[in-house]
Amino acid sequence: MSLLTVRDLSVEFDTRDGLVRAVNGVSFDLDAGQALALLGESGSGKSVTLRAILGLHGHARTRVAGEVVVKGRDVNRLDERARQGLRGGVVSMVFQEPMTALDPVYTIGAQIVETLLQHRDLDRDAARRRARELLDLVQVPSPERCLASYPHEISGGMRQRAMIAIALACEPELLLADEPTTALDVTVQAQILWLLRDLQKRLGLAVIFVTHDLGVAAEIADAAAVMYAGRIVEQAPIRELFQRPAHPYTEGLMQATVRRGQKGQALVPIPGAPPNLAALPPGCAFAPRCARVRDECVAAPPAVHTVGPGHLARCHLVPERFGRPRTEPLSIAVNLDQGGSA
Amino acid sequence: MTPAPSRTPLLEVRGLRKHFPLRGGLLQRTYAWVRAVDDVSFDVYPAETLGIVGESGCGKSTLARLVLRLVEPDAGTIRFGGEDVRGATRARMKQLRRDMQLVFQDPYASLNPRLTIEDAVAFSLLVHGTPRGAARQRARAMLGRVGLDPRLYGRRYPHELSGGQRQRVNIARALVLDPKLLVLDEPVSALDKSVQAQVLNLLQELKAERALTYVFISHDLNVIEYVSGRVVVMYLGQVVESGTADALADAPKHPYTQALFAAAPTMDPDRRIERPPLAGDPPNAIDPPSGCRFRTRCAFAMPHCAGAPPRLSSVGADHDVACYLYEAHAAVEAVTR
Repeated sequence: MSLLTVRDLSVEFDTRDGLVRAVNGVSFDLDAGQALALLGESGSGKSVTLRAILGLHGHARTRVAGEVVVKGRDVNRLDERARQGLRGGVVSMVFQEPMTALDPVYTIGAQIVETLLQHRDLDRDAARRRARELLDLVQVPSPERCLASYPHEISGGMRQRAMIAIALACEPELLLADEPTTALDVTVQAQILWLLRDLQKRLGLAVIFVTHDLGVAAEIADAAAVMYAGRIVEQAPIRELFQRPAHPYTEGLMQATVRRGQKGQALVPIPGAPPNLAALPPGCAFAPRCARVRDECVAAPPAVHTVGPGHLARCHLVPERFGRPRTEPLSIAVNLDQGGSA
Repeated sequence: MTPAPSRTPLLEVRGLRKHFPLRGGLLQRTYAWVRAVDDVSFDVYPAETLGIVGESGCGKSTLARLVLRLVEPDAGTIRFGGEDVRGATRARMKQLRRDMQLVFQDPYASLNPRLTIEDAVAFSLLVHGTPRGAARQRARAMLGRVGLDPRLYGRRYPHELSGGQRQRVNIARALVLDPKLLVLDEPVSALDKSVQAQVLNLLQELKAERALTYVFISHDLNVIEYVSGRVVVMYLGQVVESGTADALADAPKHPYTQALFAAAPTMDPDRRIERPPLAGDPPNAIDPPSGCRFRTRCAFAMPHCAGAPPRLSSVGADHDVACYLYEAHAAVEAVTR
């Protein structure tokens, strides 16, 4: 049984501009110990999906539908108390901006200890010892000093390590990371990516890594799901995704990203901008920007097609470009539910 | 692709310095100085793109503001087309700023939310004395050139545009004055990758079309390598290496430049970063390390790196590095020449 199963997840926000369909029928599975990158640009629904896994969306003006099953329990059917138990024990989260996620008026030590006291049956002394161990685990060079520091007194990289320590405090099985390195300098990003990869291996953690950066996904993930306008448009093992991108959006993203040694060649941008989520087109949401667009793309949303083992794409052109869909069972850890297609 | 730079620089910066005081306490006494830019020199030749790369706190954005005298330098000289910019009067400075324009990182924060984008672009022309009707006409033409049809977008407000469109407005606003030099401070960093490519292509087209000279500031080494002919690498307020983009990419000399290249994700799952190339965060510019400022994170640090700071010295044609590892090399070069 997979650690996490998401089936036909939808999140809609009721706003002044109308009903915004931020996440629109997302389905995937994640096995224990696997690292999945949720890739997408701003507004693609990747962070909203992540928050829905923790049941963090409030009820006011938000409609969440579909199933999010963590270790056999549907997050959307749990009461708030049970959800908190889940957040403390099984799933935890690392945010993009450690300065806003940490409380400025408490020391790092106090914040780790509080997390432990809240979720674990420990006395204060034991919690303090555990806090120190956690900072060792995330390789903070002088843990005692870090414990006694307030968030503004330590560097950005150190703050992100402290955030990860808090997230690991209750020994989760699934770590959700929302752009954890985006606010960091590139040399510090390399350290944090390396640390997360190391922790994931050593602790057997499953990780969902939300990122807009193909390079970051290539560094850390076993598989990637590419999101566009609230849907997963392509999903594949990470090497396969880079070697054989099947969705025109993924291809476009790869061509538009500046790489080393591209000097002198014009970049191939994706024209236009992502659609308004309050007024999605009836067909494929990427059709207005797609270089391969056809009549059928505008008329009806595409189904999910198999490109290869564990490789799926939501594009009308897949059968023609990549051959007939194969029918063998998908053995890869992460896969997109075919029944959940629109 | 980059035209061979003619040897008369358009912009000459020598020994530029800016230290910001930190004040506190009852009497607002200065208790420390942020050494944002410390003895920075470089030249920019007509029609080239000079890239300036470095991490947060390296002084690259302060440098952009110093060059245009939006922030007054403490020391150093800036010559633009041979003219001493720091000696210019207020009236002359206004003239000079027509020729040197700045594009900021945050395309939303740098636009007035109460002006339609047509008015925003026309505004700089009005400031410089263009009659209203002519200003509007030129603004509309400029918007069209950056890919925003003035009939569709001219009357819209900044909040009605996407990030990429707003950055196009900022570029139009800078270019409508027909400047010679454009200083771009992280112009694509706030944009999604697919939109980044659109704006980078637009900037390249405009540069060729109008024989513009760019100073392009970014923390993204891939972008810097892509757009620049020559590159200046900064660390904690100082230049640690400068050279052609090709020379830096092929054979980076300074341990910091090497680390920057090694830390950049490869976009290849089979070539992941094996070990983080550097430990720790960049130190604070308030109290930078003595001697070479990079020595606290440098794998090759030697005892005398803490002494006198290393000076920029030549390690090849148009390639300078400030590091004691290469001083011996530079000395040999000097003798054999």
